[in-house]
Amino acid sequence: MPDNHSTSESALACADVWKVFRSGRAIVKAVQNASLTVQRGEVVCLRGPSGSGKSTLLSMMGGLERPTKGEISGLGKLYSQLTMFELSELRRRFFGFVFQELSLIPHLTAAENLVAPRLFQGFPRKLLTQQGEKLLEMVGLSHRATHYPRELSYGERQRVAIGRALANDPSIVFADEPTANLDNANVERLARVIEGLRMKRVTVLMVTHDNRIEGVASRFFSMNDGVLSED
Amino acid sequence: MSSRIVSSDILWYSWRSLTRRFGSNRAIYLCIGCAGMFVFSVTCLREMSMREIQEHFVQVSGGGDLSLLTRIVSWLGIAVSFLEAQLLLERAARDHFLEFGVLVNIGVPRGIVALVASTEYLGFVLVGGCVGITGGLVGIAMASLSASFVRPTIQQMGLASVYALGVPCAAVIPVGASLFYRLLAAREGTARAR
Repeated sequence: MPDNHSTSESALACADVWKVFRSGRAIVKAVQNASLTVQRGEVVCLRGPSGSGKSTLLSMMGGLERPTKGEISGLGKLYSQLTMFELSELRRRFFGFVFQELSLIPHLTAAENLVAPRLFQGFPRKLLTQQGEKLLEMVGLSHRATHYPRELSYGERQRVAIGRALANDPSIVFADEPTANLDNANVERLARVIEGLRMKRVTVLMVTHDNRIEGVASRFFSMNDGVLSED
Repeated sequence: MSSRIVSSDILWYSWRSLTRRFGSNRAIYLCIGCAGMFVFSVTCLREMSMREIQEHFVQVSGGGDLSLLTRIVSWLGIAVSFLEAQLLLERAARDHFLEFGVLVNIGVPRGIVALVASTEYLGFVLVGGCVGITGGLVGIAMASLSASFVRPTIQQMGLASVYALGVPCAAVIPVGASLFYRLLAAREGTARAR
């Protein structure tokens, strides 16, 4: 498994990546020949119209989906050479995800959801609770620690999802529309969090349409009909 | 950071989801409970029909031997209990698939997710089985009010309880296995089912 303090500067890379979905006779080329290298500590923003393949590329870069063709590597590891268990471990230990649909676990409280990536690993419950509370404070939800997802507003759930992505002290954060339901104050809070991550040399790959958060990005890429280009 | 998976955490998670979902799982407990009660009652009857109650039944049925009939009904009950538990758990697994997908996405290995789900479902069927056994015992207590009722022995009730609990528990094995293979097959589907 990669070292958090690896000397390699490239955190993420993909070369000639294709993703083709087949639905009956229809063939959808979601990502076509995409190549991208992201250095450690970079904040990269992926933009483009809905259905252009941004989320698919993000999923592949995060090891959630396999490309149809091409190679992807994260923290110096080629995904195609990793077993399913190793890829899971890479995600669990070094990656943080903010999903478009938030995907909180309904029967865990906000504090427990925050530390979900650390469940099943034998951490003392007290330590996890403390960490959960600390993360809740960071996303401004200390007063919601014992609330269940259904008791939170969509924006609050979004903030829990953002906190969860940081629970494992990740080397790379993948965020799909992280500001979709946030007000200006919380977008600013998120921008500060991302700035803090950049200072800690954490890489952020973010899909967004929101120009309120784009100020934190160091590079921009656009996707149109599955074709990636740097702005 | 540790990467090992700890069984006490799996139990904690399963207990958490079992208790938090109690309301939405009542139908599962009741259905498994009804099947368990049926299995419990018929097993008692079968055991009894083979021993003390045989003569009693022979008299009641006008000379007919009921042991074969109770044996057939008993196996039928076991099959129904197993299939019903499996059906309910498959349905629960389908309903919770998205949640399992989340766990997979944040890096919990698929096998562990299937194990977590199986442990939780084992909890479902144990609750259901206990409901069934309680129902069976209440039935026996009520029937005991009748002077002509031949009460089953503790041993017979013990065997009936083992069937009522064991049969639905066995249904967890195919459900856990099929969930594991679905999670494997849904490598892409799981990721996209966010």
